[in-house]
Amino acid sequence: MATEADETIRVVVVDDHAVVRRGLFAFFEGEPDIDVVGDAQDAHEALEQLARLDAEGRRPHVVLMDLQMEPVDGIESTRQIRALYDDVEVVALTSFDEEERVHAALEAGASGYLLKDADVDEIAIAVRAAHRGELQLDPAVARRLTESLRAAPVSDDAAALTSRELDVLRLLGGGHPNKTIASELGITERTARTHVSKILAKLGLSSRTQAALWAVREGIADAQR
Amino acid sequence: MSEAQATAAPPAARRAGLPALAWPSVRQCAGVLIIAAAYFGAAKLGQTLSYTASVSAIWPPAGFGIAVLYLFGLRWWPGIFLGELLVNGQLLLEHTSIPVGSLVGQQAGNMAEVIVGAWLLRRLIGPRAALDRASQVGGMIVAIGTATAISATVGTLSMLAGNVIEPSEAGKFWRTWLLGDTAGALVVLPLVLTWVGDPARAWRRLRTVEGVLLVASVALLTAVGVSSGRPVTYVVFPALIWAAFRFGPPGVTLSTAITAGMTIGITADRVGVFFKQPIDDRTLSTQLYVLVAALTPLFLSAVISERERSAVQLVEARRRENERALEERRRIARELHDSVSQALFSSVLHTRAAQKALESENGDQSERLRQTLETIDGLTKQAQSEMRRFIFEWGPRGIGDDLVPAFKRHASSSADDAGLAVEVVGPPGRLPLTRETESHLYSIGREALANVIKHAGADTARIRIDATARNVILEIADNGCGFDPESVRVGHFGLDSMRSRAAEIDADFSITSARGEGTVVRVDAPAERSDSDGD
Repeated sequence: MATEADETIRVVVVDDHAVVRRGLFAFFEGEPDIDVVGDAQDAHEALEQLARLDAEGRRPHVVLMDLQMEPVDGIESTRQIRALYDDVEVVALTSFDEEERVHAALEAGASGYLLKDADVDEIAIAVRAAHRGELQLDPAVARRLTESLRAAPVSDDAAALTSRELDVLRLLGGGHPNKTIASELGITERTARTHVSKILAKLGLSSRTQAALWAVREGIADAQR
Repeated sequence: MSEAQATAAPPAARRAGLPALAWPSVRQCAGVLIIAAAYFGAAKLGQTLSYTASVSAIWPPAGFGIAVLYLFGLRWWPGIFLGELLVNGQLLLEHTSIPVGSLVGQQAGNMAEVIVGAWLLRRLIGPRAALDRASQVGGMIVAIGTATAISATVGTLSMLAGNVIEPSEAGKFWRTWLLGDTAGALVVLPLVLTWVGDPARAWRRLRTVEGVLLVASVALLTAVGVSSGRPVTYVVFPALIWAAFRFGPPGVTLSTAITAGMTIGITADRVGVFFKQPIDDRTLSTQLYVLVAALTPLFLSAVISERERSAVQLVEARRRENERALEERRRIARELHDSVSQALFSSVLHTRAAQKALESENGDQSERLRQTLETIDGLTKQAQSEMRRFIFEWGPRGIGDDLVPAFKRHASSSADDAGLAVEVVGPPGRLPLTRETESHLYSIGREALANVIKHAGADTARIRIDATARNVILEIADNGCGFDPESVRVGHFGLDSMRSRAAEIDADFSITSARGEGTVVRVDAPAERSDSDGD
């Protein structure tokens, strides 16, 4: 089932508060290109919903994930979903912006991180960005990540990178996932992943988010948005 | 009782299964002999100052015997029996005039004294008493009084029966016996009880310069007081009170023992204030002197120990109370997050949905509706951000971060809107502060920064934190219009709340400002002590 450009984006909402799920249903009513096809109140129900939708041939494109849930938190739930359905993007939607949570969510495979008290229109923007395979961070979160990057001891010799690694970094800075980087450069996804980890090692960074922000700061990135 | 017995009895003897007729072990024999020898030695000490042949002015063996049986169990009575037998045997040899029957009576009375005394002591004050409670000192006095009354009565009757004393002098004889045993017990029993319990700790406390000074003062003042002919007999009491205040029961019992021992020695040496009195008075006044010198500081040190304990408990209770209050705030924050925050978020979503629905319908007549929705949106978002601030401050993680990062975060979120440049300087890691102090410092800093934003009209502000091992200093300075701190009414600018927060964490709080010269708010808070260093 090939994805068409004008197809509506199917979204599943995972949040342990029914009042939030209802709000999101109402909110997405007003977005004609986004269709909420299911909702779940915990990690277990989320997997059930995904399995059901998958069986119906309506696998969702994006999952909006609350991070604070019991007994399994949203970060672990993100990891489970990404392990089973690697083409389903997860966007974290939470009240807390502690740095380690952001890192944990991104490392678990989330491709967006939004705060519940930010401008709600950001939610629709992030869902569309995730659907396009881009990374979307809340501006406050992004600013703080950049600050921590600035504080980190970075060896500023991009010269240490090979030209292939620079290509990868350029795409990484544009928010592209490994899959896109691979197809863009005509290499396998596995090779792309190897390049990314070499880049991290050479620059002394710990996550691809940091690498992306570093690329933006150094003007290497493929400016996309 | 069982505890002391368990430690004293070798387990092998218990397992042997011949409880009644088993031969005593080497250890038991040695124990009995040591107790007997010590008891005999204590008796010799008492006999240096005797009223008549068989009754001493001070009788230390009574206290020693009660202490041994109290600490190690009544099963060690044979040691006391043997010691007493030696004392009476020697009396029989030296004073052939005393009939054997009277000495048998005396032996029985003294045995009853020690056994009843130890048993009563266990019943009244429990095992392992450190005499650091007034009730324990009181219980000890009752036990000693009962025990010595038995001994004095049985002893006097025995001597009367053997015609050792005349019926006319029986009353005085009984009194002398009672007071002698009581004075001896009140010196020796507390000494053993307080020094056997934790000798290392008692010794550490006295092994200081002050401890040496105390012992020297007690000895010197007793010597002066008792041997001088002038009326300075009670000059040692300030030193005994010093012992009670600074060295607790172990210091008191040692000082009293020194005073009692020296008083007896000097009087027995036929000199000093007590010797000068006629023989009847001499004994009585020595006995009363020792009794008063023992009882006064014992009660004093017990009461002081109680007071020190309750001071510690009070601090602990206050700390727990504060912890509970913080925990309660955290719980409220969690619950608000779970209910109100989520509802507000949903409300924003619904409002946005309504706005979009209105846009698509595009009716001119709904301009008022549009405005109303905008107002609802604004109000909800405002409530949302206030809730967020509250949860951030009181939430499950306290201020959620170390102090300097927390200030940086707060400054960047609140000052950006106000067009104020805030510089936050300080060590980024964990500061030596309790959670309570940290949380109050954070609140003071926030309040001060809010004042800068609202009133100062400043364009830069600086939050500075300096931490040493002793204190943490928080300073909020701005280059704004300043004010006259004298003219500010109480409660204005939240100065009162900042001050009371500072007082709650024992911090110094000061505001330096003048019109047109900016303001500096400074809080100097004591650091959390990483290890409690004794005194």
